[in-house]
Amino acid sequence: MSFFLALLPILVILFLMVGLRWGAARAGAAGYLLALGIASAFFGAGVRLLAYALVKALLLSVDVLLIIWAAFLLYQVVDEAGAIRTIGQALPHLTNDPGMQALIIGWVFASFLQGVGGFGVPVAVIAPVLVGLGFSPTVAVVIPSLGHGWAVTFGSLGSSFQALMAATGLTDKVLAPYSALFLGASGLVVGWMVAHAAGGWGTVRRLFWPVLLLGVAMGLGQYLVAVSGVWNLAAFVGSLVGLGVAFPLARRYKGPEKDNGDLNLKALMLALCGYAVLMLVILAVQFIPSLNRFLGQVVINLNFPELRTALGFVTAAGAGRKLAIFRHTGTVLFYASFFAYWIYRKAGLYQAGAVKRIVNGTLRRVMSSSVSIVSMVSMAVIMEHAGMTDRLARGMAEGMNGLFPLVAPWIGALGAFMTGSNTNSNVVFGALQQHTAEILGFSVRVVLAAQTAGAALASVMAPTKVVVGASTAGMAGREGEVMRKLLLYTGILVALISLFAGVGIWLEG
Amino acid sequence: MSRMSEWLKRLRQHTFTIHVWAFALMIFSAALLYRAAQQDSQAGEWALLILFTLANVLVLLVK
Repeated sequence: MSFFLALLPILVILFLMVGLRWGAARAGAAGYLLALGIASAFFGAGVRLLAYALVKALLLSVDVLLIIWAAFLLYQVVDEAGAIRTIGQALPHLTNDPGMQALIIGWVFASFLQGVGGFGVPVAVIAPVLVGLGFSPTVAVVIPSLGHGWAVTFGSLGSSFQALMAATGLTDKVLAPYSALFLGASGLVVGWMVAHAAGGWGTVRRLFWPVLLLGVAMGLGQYLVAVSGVWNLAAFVGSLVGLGVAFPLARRYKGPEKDNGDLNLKALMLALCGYAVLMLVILAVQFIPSLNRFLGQVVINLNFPELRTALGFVTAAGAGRKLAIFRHTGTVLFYASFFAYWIYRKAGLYQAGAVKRIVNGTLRRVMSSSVSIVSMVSMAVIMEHAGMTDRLARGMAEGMNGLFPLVAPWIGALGAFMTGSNTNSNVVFGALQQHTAEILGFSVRVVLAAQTAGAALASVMAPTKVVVGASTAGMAGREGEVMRKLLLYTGILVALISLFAGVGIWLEG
Repeated sequence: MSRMSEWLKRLRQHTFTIHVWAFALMIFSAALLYRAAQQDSQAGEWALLILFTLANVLVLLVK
């Protein structure tokens, strides 16, 4: 009975989002209210415990939201300057081979956009470009949807990975290696799937080696950056390496002659400036010790007492999430956004009213997800402090036993599908997966890598993302066609992560 | 009953504004909860917990 009660808030969110197609904000609020009621009525959570749980939830939410707000601000700054359009228009100049176009635009460039933007941006930007190049609307949505999935965890400048660290209290040193390994390896398979979606098995065979080369380059790039401590740049740098490899490759697969107009190199270089600034600012803060120390002087650090439910579940006393507010990844992204804005403004790329459009566009896009993150994080933290997560973990451990690592990515995938986001899935299920793995004696880092990789790959077929892609490709109301096509590809990818998790557990002993 | 549904209909036309208010309420009440708990103020804790919960009810009401 207590297991079912602990599971109920998660089941209700799932039902509301998938069954009734509610948005994440509304479903998150329902989940919070239910978790609050169950925690107080059945798990003995008093008002003091709930009060401190909400404060801890606030710290975790701010930790994640700073990155989301800043990542989207940067995207708006770049997009308002016309830079995204310029980069998108330059890519068809590389090749007229439809398979290579699908790979470069729908896989490599989609991953690049995920690295710096996310939130459905890759599909929204690329689907219309592919339709313009002659792909059918369904394929034009399926290709970038599939193509960017492997870059979701370390994309959006690392917001999903930050959420995983915040929810579990573990560091990037522990979590990054397996996460980057699983996602990099699945990224290679994603490349062959994109080729398959673009032209069937013939295209897969013809472009086998280019996919292998691009996949290894991007996966390795992401892995090396993620494990070196600059995890927020991992997907960005990985896809940038991919773009670097794609240029010479495209020359070998040029396809039939076709007029794509003139390529304006100066405009392209200027468009890329915003992202060059981003790299410089992040690297400067990370690797110049005096600057790092200077920005790290102001820290929000709250201490919490031991908390105990009426049923005797204890949360030990300790510090909450520490926030070095001026050195936080989100704040660093704000600095990069201001520098990028200054450069584009000096270059005369903005029209009158640009600041208002940038600020309004950012606020409109982030508000709903901000509300959903605060509600869902509050739900997750209340569940954790009331002992509900512990009850779920023990129940799952008893029920699944040795099979748990194989199921872990499917739990992550379920969370991403129902909440539309890898970040939300990590918030809701991160601690649960961690506790279950601890109880069963499995490697926590392998299980959590499986959680986030499964969530990243399945987030691409969340109804919220598919709706965005379908509307920009001019096929609103036909989202079912896209979801049917994505279902098989995504299922294979999550199954692959199950296999990786099994091997990882075996290697870890 | 019809007055209630009319009010809900009008509320749902302002989803963004409601989200802004609800978000501000959540942040405000959660931030003050730490102070209330530290000062052992049960009434303050209750009031702020209810405020946080009301903000969620507000979000629940709009689409």
